[in-house]
Amino acid sequence: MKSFISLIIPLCAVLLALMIGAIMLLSLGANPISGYVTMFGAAFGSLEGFSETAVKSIPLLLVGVGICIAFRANVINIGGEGQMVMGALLATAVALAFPGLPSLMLIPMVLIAGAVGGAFWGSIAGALKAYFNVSEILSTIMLNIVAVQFMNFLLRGFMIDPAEVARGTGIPQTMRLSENADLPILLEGMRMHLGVVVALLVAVGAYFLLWRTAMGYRLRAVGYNPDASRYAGISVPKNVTSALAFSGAMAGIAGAILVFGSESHRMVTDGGSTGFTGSAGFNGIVVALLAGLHPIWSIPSALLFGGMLVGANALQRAAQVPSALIIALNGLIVVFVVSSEYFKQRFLESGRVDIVDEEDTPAGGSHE
Amino acid sequence: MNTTPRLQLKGMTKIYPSVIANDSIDMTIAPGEIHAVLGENGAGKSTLMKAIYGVVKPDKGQILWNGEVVSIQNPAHARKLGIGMVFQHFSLFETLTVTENIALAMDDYKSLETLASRIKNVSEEYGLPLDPGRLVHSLSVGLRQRVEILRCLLQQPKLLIMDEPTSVLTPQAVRKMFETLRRLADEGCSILYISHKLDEIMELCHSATIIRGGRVTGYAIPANETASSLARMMIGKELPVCSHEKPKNLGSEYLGVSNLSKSSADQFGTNLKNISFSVHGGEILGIAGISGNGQQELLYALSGERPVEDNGAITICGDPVGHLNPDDRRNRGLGFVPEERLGRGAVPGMSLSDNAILTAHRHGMVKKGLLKFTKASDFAKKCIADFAVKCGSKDDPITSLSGGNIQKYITGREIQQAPKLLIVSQPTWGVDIGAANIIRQSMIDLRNNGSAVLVVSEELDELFEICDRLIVIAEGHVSPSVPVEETSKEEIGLWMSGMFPGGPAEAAVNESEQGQEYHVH
Repeated sequence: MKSFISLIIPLCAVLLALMIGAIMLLSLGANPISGYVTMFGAAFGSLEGFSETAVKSIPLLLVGVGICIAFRANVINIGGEGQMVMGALLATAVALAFPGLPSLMLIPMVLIAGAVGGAFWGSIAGALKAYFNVSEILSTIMLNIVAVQFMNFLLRGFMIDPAEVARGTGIPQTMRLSENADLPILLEGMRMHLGVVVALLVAVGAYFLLWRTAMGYRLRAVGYNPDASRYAGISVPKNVTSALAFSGAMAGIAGAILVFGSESHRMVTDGGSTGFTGSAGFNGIVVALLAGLHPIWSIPSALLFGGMLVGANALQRAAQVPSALIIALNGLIVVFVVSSEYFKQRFLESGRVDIVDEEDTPAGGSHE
Repeated sequence: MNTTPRLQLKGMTKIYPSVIANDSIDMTIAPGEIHAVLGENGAGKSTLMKAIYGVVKPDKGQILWNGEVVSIQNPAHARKLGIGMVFQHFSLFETLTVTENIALAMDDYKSLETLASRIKNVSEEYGLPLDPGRLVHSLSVGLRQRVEILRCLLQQPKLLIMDEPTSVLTPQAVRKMFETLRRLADEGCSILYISHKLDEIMELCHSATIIRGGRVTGYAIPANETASSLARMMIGKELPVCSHEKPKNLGSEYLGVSNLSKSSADQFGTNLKNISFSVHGGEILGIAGISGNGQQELLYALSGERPVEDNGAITICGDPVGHLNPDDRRNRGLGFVPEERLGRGAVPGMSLSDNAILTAHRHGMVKKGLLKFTKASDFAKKCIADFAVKCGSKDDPITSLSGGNIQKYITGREIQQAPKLLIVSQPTWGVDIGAANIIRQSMIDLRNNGSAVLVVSEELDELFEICDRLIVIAEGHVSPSVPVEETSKEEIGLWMSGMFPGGPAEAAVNESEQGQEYHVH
């Protein structure tokens, strides 16, 4: 019953958002049914389309899984963007430093570097919250900005492609990174690459971490109730910090995969973060919320949002509607899913509040 | 007595999705009658009182107020009719004065000055002297309760509902409150007195309604009954008794506290002042005292949730542990049951089985960082069975249990780990008589097996029943210890007011003019 409700309510929220999207399509003079058919057909109707969707879903899934861990520990991570950037930067630096290593070593190394970079960036906000009581919502957002400026600084300076300097064009991007670090293509002639497998493994690993290990137990205990954790000797500051470190690590891997799975195989900046991340650092939060903060459910959730990104272009071509509509649709889903949380809680609690109510003493420490 | 009953309930029924809280309850209270509502936890007493006070709406049944059918919409409506209620949990603002707190609950008063003088008059009239200008945070729990009672009295109630009022009082203060209640009753005010302290009910109440499982199981004149006959009606079987053998021989010192001083982390808390005592294997030491006298602070220091500066001030099994965190102290043999069950003793949102892992993980539930679920569920199942925890299954969320059952479960969880040193705060708060006996007996068994047990409780009866030695905590000071055979409830009650050798007696002497109460400062 409980898992049924946690599944059905967010799904209803998505359907409602799509219905409002249909009204928007109508008002733009397009047929919503054929519009949606085009959109989801492009994303899921062919192997090629699915391959595109899968690639778009990778960063969404990785960030989303990280968000699951952070939110389970009751830490709000809005710093996915910055953590992706920092992970990508460190991974790129490793690839630049060791271009000659064989793929079998270099690919794991850049992915780990991505994780380390993201974890470092996340744990700064974590430690600030844990030891100095700084709101992680503010610190993670601000660290996004710092990370972007750091990226601009590096890509215009130390890490810039020497050819750009020689030509005098000065486009802020690295050189073509070592081919040994290219993520192998999984299906001939398509773009789906090893990153998909990595993301799936991370999702499964996060599930395992949260529900099968003592460390995950501690993270969840701290998230549920810091006082009970303290009572049992679980260090709240340590676990708050490590929750953000885990969350950042996953965003960092996403950043690394964006670089080494890209067509250009370079790290490029357009001055902001979205040019690089495609806003996955924020959209991953929605992925996680739609999935009910469950790493495994994040997989279909990420595919839905990845598919919408792919479908948006098809919709634009077929129905002649601005692709901004998809951004609006994305936003609608966010609003509906987030507000559906309220209804979910009410449904889940309506049964049990009464049980407590019927007792003489509420369940807290109470006088008799 | 007047012929029209003050309050009459007919067929009161309240059904919750999972349980029938009240099943056609009939009850009649005459003007000036002190009527006990007796029942175990979960029997439905609170639901019934909430229905009378307009907090919950009954599904069926009638309330007749002075002979007229009324439908009580909300507490404000109830107050307008003349029904007052003193809750177990106070709702006072600590940073406001007595007058200001009372003014907040009053609909009509001219000015704070006139209200203050009214408070003074009424409080002296009823033998509950109280300075209206005092800030609530400087009042002891007993005086705070007085504020709540006065708040009701100022509305000149015709019916006063009192929910477990004596749990925060010393024996002397209980006696004083009884005088006040009798006086109120003489003036025609009816009193609904909720309790499961049988001796109090027999002493105070004119009549009693006994509720079990949402139904009335009997009406009684308490004076004509015995404690065991009342208990039989209340729990449906004979009152179980603890078997308490005398301690054999004392083991070594498992808990040592020497010269422990610590200022409270809470602004309105109590500082610990130079506390020393010890607990040996094979004995139960009780700490008596009115809540708010440093028990919380002492327990935080002993459990390791708030480590102390002097590492040697606390020793467990001989090791200095003042700096250690709770987990390390548990590794040295500590088990601890805090007074807050949910949100400290247990993680709300997790299942019973997962909550076993919280402290019992060191008993094979974690191997190489991985959780061993079979171990945890075996442990949980045993705990549920041994401590008669009423629950659906070990996989239910712990929040689906009642407070008493959560208490049984977490006490069981700690005892089942066979700690060398068990510290329990308020072991039987909110726990029904049958279960309370299971808990007490298991603490005695633990002692008989050579462990040291430290019990912090406000219930003197309980302490006298299970403890070998007693100490009293008052205003952060601890009294010398006395064997239970060599003292009496009266002496301990006096000590609870701070009047013990080396205690904060002066303050208590000054305060005694204001009743047998004193500041918590």
